[in-house]
Amino acid sequence: MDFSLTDEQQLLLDSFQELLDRECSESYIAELDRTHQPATAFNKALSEAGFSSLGFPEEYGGTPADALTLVLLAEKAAHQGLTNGFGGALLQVRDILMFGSEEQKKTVLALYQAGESPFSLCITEPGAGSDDAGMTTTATRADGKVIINGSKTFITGAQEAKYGLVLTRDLENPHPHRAMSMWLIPMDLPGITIHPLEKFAWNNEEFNEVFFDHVEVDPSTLVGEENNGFLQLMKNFEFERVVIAASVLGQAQAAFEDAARHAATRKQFGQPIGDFQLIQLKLTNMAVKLENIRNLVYKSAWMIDAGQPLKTMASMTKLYATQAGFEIADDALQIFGGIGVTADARISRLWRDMRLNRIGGGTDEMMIHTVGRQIVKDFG
Amino acid sequence: MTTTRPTWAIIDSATDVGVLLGAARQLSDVVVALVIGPRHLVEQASSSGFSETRWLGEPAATVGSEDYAAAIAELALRETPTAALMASSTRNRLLAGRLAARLDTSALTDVSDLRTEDDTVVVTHSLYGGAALRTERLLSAIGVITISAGAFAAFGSGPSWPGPIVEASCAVTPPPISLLERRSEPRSAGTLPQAKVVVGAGRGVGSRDDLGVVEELAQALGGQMACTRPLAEGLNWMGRDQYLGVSGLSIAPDLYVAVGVSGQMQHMVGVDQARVIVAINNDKAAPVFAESDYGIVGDLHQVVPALVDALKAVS
Amino acid sequence: MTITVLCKWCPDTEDLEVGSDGSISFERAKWSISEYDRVALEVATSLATEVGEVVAVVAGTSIIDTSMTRKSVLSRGPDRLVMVVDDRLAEADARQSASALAGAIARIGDVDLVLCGAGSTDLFAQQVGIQVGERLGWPTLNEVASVHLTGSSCRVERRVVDEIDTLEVALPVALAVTADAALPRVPGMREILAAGKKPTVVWSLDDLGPPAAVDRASQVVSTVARSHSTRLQVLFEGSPTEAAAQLVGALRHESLV
Repeated sequence: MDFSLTDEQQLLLDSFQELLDRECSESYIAELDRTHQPATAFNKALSEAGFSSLGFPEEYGGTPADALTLVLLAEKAAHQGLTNGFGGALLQVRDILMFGSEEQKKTVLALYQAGESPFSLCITEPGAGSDDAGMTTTATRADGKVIINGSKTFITGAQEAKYGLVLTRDLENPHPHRAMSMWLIPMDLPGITIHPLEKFAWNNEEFNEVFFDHVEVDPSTLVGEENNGFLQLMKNFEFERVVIAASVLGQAQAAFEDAARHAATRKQFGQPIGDFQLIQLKLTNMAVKLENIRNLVYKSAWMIDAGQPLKTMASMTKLYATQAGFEIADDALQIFGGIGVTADARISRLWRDMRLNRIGGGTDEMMIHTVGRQIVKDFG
Repeated sequence: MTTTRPTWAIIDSATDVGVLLGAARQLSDVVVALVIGPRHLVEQASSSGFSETRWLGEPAATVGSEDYAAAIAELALRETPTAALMASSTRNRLLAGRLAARLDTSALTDVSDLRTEDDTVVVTHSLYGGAALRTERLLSAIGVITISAGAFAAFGSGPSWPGPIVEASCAVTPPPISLLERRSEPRSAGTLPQAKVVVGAGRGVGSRDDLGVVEELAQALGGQMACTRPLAEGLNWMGRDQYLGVSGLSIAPDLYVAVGVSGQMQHMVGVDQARVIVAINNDKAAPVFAESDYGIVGDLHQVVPALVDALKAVS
Repeated sequence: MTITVLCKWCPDTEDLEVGSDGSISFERAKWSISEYDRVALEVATSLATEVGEVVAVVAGTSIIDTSMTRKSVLSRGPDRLVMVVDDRLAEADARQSASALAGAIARIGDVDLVLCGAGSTDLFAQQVGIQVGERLGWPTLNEVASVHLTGSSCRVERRVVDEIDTLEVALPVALAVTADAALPRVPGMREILAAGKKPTVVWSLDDLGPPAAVDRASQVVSTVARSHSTRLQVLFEGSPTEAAAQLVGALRHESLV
């Protein structure tokens, strides 16, 4: 087992940290959180520094990077305190790179490399959250056109993005996972309306309801094969779970460091509260959890790079990371006491934002379902 | 203890005269002023208490004190002073480097303490971003030393002590550099080094607009604005010459108020000569509080206006 | 045309550890290119896109002789790297460093422009670049805020107190640049991967033409952590109005308002 980084990984992380220090200060992040704005300026800076070309093939102007490198970057952005600061958009781009037409690849990559949001992922519906099969948005062919009808919810970035990647269902097909199709459509088409939802976390990403009312699109907006949309989507889910876990790792590390510094300096009863064993117990458990998350995340990334099938590893990693990560944030908040609840303390934002990771990108319960079912099957 | 060899003070600005004399007297009782500048500067120096004042000449517009390096080096090799002292200005740093190279020594820069032990020069200066102090004993025959601003008290003797002026103008070969344009661009810092009250803004000031709040405090205190390096370099919210710290200005005001300043050593070293330091920061764990006399933990948007009101109430 | 950039590989001063006796240690410090020298690398790289080759020069003990140092420097734009590696450069002062670097520049040959940052992150004496220029016998300037090449000369802006001079200097010349001169780019993966393929040569002090200065011009007597703050460290608590009133009271007591 070799946990050391290559020179290249270390240098890239150094560069990334330099960029974060320059373009993504805590006051900037706090301002995004307060004003509910996306990190537009930071994304531009990322793109200018070439970080938006990482992780896809050279033939499309990219610079190949292994999964571990991408995961380390996602961790670092999160460690700075930024929620979902790196990796999310790249994963979306990969969906298109794998299955999209040349035209679609060009469009999406150009947006991504310019530091803009490539598209908004429109999957979840009011009646179809964890249960994708409950989806009712349809795409009907008529007169050489495709008509989309239905509604989506909890859609991030819908107002910002030029395009939406919309998943639809052929309701007549009895096999839901062979009845879904993916469409890359402009979000300014007639018939599309977007309603923002108010929420208490991830303020740098908007959540929306998106309504498709007889939206007419060209058949060329189909991504990949018709009725193969679900399988296409699943292709990148595993890596997405690892990237989410990496993000949690970074923010948990930030929460831990804030709490440890506070414990070492905050005096009560004439001594730093870190001298009390109840606080030391918390800090120790936090440190152990942090190392566990790190090991799961790095091992998953290593498995991807080694070409080993992840099977349930990605789900186990996300499940443990988001739960243990939130426990770390919660203990950190407890160590801060009242100070931690104020908007001035970064821990208040980390606590809110980390809670959402247990829901977004697949709930804890769905991770358990995936892992548990496989265990029983393996031993059956 | 001082040595019997003379020490030189190289003077090219009126503001440095007393301080250079004060610093040089730490090394020798015999201090010779080498003046580069107009007649009135020589007269000022000669009446300040130097053993001897030599006038090296008044440089032409295109020549600076740095261009006297060759001439001073030649003179130094002939007379072997203990050391040549100068203030830490841009031109003098260049002069020090050129002089040191010609005398095959290493310049000792920004020294905050000077003395002689067993007839050798011993200096102390800060390093590692202000985190440490190093004491060094000079091994070469002649020291080339720039002194830290604010570290030495001026030696004042009053104007009634005129010393001899020796005209010692030396040949200066103009460098192969032509001056195409000289434009006056006063530092935005203005008289910051002399200000009695300075209010410094740090990264905790969330946006450029928020600087207005801090400026109101500076006005209410009758002080001047300064900042940490990130605000001047990178964010460009304030002038490059307004930042305090290792690579910026060092000041010694009566009162320094740090607003949204985390308190990194690199910044604090520029203000540690202040008589009283006040910190306002929303992070209670910020190191600035350990470096301050008085502190308020809180959001500057609330604390600073409250402070401005309280100041108005007493004035 | 050849531009050389002098870079110092130094420990991060924020990683300095202080022992209970005031001793200091960089044992666990991360090392990197002095941040001021990154500006010089950026200036050189942007000038060289028009005119020619950039050679970075780094001098130090064997601690600098790693693939990490090479790739780190080369990822910031230079075409090749010259390293002067010699353990006699331990705790080198400006004289030793300048002597070694000037020797390296002489050996590289036909250098037209030497650039360095304002000072080094660790010592910040602001001396080495100047002394290199003087040792080479070239016109030398510090506080240079912009550099443009104009054929056989270069045009620079230099700030001296309240004036900014625009100067024309015949090449060769040595310049120490300020942070105004350029905003250093952060290297991306492409630059980092390319850095591994660029050439590096390693010389010792004995490989340099004229005998290099191998001893310090001064003896280090002690290096100790700055003593702890003697500030009062009084915190005013309560509402902003209450805390402000208490602070104003304290400042009145100190005769400051």
